[in-house]
Amino acid sequence: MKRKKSFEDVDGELSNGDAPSPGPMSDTVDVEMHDAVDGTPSKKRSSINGRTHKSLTPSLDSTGAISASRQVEENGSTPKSNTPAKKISRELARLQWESEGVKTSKARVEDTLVEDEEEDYMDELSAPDQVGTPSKRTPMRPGSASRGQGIGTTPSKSTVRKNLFSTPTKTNGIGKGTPTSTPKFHPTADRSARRKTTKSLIERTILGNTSDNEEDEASLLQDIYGSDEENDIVGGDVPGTVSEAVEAIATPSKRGRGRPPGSKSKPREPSPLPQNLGPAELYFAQNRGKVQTSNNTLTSLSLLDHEEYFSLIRKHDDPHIKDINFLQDTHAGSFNQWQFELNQDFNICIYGWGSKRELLSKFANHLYNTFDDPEKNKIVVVNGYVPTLTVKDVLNTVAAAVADRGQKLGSQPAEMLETLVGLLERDPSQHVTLMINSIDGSPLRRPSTQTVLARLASHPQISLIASADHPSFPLLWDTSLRSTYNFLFHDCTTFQPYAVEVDVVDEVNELLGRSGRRVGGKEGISFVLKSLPENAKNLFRVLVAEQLIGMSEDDDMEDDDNDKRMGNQEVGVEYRVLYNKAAEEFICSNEMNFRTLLKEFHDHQMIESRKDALGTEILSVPFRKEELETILEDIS
Amino acid sequence: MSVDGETSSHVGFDATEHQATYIYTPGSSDRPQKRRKLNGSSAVEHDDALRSKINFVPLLNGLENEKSVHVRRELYDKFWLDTESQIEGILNEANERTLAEVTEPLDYVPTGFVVTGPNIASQGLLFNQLSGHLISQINGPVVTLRSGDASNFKAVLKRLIRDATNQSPNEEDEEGEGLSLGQKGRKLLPYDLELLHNYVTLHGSERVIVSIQDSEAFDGAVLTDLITLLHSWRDRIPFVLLFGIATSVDLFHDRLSRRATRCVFGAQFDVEQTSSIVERVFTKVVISADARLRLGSALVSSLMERQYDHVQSVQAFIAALKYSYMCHFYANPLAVFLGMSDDPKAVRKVLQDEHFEALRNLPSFRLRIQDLLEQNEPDYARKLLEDDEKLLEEAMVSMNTRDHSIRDILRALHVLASSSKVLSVNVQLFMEAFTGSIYDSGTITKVINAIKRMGPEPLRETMQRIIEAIQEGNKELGLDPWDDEAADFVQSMKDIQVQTEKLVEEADEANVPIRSKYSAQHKVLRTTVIAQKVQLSHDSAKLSPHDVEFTSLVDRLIELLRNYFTIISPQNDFMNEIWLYDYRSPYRDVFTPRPRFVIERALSAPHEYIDTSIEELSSAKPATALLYEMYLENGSLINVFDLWSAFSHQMSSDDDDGNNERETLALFYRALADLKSLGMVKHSKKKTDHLAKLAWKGL
Repeated sequence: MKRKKSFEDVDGELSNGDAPSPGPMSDTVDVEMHDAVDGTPSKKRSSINGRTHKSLTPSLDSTGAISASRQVEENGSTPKSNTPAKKISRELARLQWESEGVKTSKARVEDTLVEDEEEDYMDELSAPDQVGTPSKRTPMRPGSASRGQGIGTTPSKSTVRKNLFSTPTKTNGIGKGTPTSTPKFHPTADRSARRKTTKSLIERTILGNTSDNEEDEASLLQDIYGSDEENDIVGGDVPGTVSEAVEAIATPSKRGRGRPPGSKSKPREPSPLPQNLGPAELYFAQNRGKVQTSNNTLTSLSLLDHEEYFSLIRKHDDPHIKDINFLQDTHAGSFNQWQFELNQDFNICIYGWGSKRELLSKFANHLYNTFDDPEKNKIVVVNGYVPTLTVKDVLNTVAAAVADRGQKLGSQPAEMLETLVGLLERDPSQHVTLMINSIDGSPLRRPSTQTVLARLASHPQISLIASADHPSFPLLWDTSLRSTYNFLFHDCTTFQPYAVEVDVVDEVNELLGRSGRRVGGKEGISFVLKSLPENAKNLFRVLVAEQLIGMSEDDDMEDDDNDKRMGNQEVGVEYRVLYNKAAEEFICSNEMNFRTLLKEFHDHQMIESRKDALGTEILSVPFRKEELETILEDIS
Repeated sequence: MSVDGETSSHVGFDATEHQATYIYTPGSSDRPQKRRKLNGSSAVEHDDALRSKINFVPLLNGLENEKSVHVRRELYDKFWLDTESQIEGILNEANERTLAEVTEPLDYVPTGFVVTGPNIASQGLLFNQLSGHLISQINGPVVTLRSGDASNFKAVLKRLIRDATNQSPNEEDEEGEGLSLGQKGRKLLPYDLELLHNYVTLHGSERVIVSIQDSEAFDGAVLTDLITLLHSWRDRIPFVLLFGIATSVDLFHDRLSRRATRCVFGAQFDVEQTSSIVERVFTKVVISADARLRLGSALVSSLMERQYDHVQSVQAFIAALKYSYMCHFYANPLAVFLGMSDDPKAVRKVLQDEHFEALRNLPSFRLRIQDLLEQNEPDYARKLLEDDEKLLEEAMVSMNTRDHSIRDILRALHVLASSSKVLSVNVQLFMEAFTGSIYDSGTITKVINAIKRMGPEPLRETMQRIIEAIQEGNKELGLDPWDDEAADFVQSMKDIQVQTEKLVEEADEANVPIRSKYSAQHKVLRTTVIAQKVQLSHDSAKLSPHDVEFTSLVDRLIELLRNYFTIISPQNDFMNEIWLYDYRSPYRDVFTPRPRFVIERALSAPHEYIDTSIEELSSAKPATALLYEMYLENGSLINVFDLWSAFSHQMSSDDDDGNNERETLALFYRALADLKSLGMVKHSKKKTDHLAKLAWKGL
């Protein structure tokens, strides 16, 4: 119900714009609307607009009709609030001026749709204002747009293109038919969205590549556009690189998730960025205003799990493998030099794009083959990317390399280091080459660890050769550490994939906010829950339910204020609240009990906990709303 | 299918990949079968390794013979060891003073503040030396505490006690047992100072020195606690505290509580600042006449810039110097010629045709030939081009003249410096002289003008200084006295001196002052008023006969000095490539890496590294590079789905089916994970399935 009301608001506001401005003003409104639809305003069309509008209304479905009649009512009544109306009329005045300017260029009546659209496209490129203008007005509340569009815009289309007469019903049909299952479609149906959509549709068709999921998208776009327009489009060369295509895809729904016009003036859509900006300018250009992106989500894409990923990656053969090997060999050519440098009490750090693990292991092999006495020269390899690595492991392994096993070093790293140095000095002919893959790996990033490593590396009997992957790795070391390390740096760009260093699937899941997939998804959760006692199941149910409530509240808030949502963090349930709930439902009697239950969830990574700005602990289940719903169904 | 997947997953699986640490053996990453083969080949290499100790690569397209390689290596060792020992001498000398200063008063002062200056990089070295020195001087343990070990008070105490009691390595467990028992037989906790007390009484230590290396980095509360506690034990354990202070003692005081301040009583010691040490090292090993390898001005200026602006550390400077030596001998096959001045015969033995060939290809050789042709000596030029022996001769001559001309430069500079009170031979002056820009910079003109304006007495003193400079030489610059070589110069100097003295005596009798015409008093400013306008004009006062005579003496001196200061820089002479090292790029690349730039470049221009033209346009780029390109074009918020559609669109521009798309998705995953590991994107909570952009290229 709430939603419905908002639709009316929009309609009201829209018509408010019309109402107080009689005469030429109403004419401009029509122009503007055209503009919003397909960017081809023309006097001729606008003059007949009013008529077609009315005549078409009855052909709309019931909801559309209702809102249309509402609109008529609103037209008669006084504007609900003054400010939006004023704003709109101001906006309109400006628009009128602008459209006058464009008119001349647009006055030619289009022969075919393609030409029309092409020109439109070009215009948009050449005159950024054109793009910017409609966006001022267009944003609407989700859902409402579809109706507004059905009324305000489709007719005008039909006046020009007879074959599009069926459009409005189709659009609305979809809008009405699937309001709950695909709520996301609503926002996308927006007037200017339509314009953008047309554009991307054309580009898409002309470029002629529709992969599976692109087809999904295409059908979605067609739904928005609501026609079999494709047939009308004859092939042509639409200029556009991929990035533009992305933008084109990105733009339509940009509006969809908008807010009611007038609640806050929306910043202009950034004009297309000029080329060849300096880095700093580019930064500011890209951060100016609110960034607008599309509302597309990955729901249509089935994500990869570890198994599939690995089987796919294994199948994939890199077309560059020859070049990459050549690059590797080039670096291998300086092994001798590295050895000399290590020999001269320098340590080496290699950096650059690509995994350097293989290169280092080749170097290890090279070193090993040149050692006079492998008993006195040991190579210790440390894989800094292994998450369980600790500095104690490093020290213990070095100790094992220089002395018999079972040598006890101590418990504290600093203490261990002392003992180790003592061990080393016992036999000055001993030499250890320490080879650290990813010295900037997360397990080794702590300053205390780096201090220990540096002091180890500065020992004359130890040579260190390390690889670093992160672009900002030198920040790990201050001048003191840096001079202790005594590094020589070599650029070793290998272009080798980080096959071992990066856990691709986990990383991507985390990036996409789907860390819940780590547990094995919903199935994993229910599997774990099966093995847990009834109480735990109940607790989890309460948690999920609470979180869902939180989420739906959040959704409502979205309607009211976009900004609030932006600032809002992921939803979760406060620890205290959850405990109280659990106590109410007799799931647990005391906090100890409660903690134990939570611990179980933590262990299985089924819940996440974090502290908010005030320091209260917030618990959440790392799944998205839809998934949570199904989980809830499963367990209750 | 899954069975296939299973088996194939084991192929290429390397057990060591996910092992945190291991000791490398060839088998651990290669197949075991390979091992035997490798061992076989390594046995052959062993002999090589033994013979030539280390492994310089044969240069000259790999044609360089082994002996020559060996000579280069030995030359490097020798030259660098020489230089290194010189540097060590300077460093020890510099710290020696501090050490002596610090050590002595510790007999009666319980606390020392060692003000090291802001260079924390060299603090470590200093404190190592200090504790080494102190251990040899006093009877008792010396403990150095660093802020890194001192997370809390307990940890500091533990460390202090452990280090102090473990100092003598030969006495271990049994005594440790004995120490850890208190008076009543109970076991003592590891942070109980009673332990240390037992140790001290057992060994009869006179003092326990606790040096706190980076006092600024310590937590103030920990430091306060430590000071008060140690103070309260002073009646039983003879503690002496040493604080390393980078800022100032006042600031240090402010950080302590009043109670702790009252416990601290001591003396302040200043350490010689890095910059002055660097200057001395520089003078010794780069400027001085015994410098084995000359560094060019470009390299030196970037070295000094980094030194002053960024690192300020002697070690970094030495490392850079060492690396220059390493580069020169490792990569320049003609470096063998440097050995000629010591042992020409040995060098002659290893020379081969390719060496001469390379010598003739030097730019400086071409210059030399051009010079010869201009001087109308085509025969000699032809000989140089054809006859190896002649070339060798020429090379030896040129090596000798090089030494001479460098020495001449240094002598001239030394004289120049001694003829002015403000000037000293420093890096900048030397580089100016070396590159020949000393005239442009006006240094010489300034000095000469100053001399011109001098009165007779200062002039006499200046001449005296110059003569002394020549007679004494300069040890730091490696200049021996050269008065016999410059006999003419010295003699005419002395003549002028004598005449000046005579003149002064005569003038004294006549009771008139002597001035040259250049002196300021001889210039008179006249104001004339003509037609209500003021005219200023300079006018020379009239010169007395004494003055005229004095002026002529000054002119003679100036002439003499001018000639002496005419320096011919050898930097473009024949063979300069051999004794002059002036490449900035290895130094820059190796010591000041730009990892971010490198990674951005690799990703944005992969064609610079690998061939991306093999296929049609887009998919020829590596996946990550492609994604990075899109990433750059995006705003600060990125929709993953749109990114993916653009990516898949680019990757599969030609025929594609469902399978292919999944593979593309896998690549997309990899590329995305790569971007994440580079810290370029993170999950955004602003919108579903969006990423936040974190890095902008080139910023």
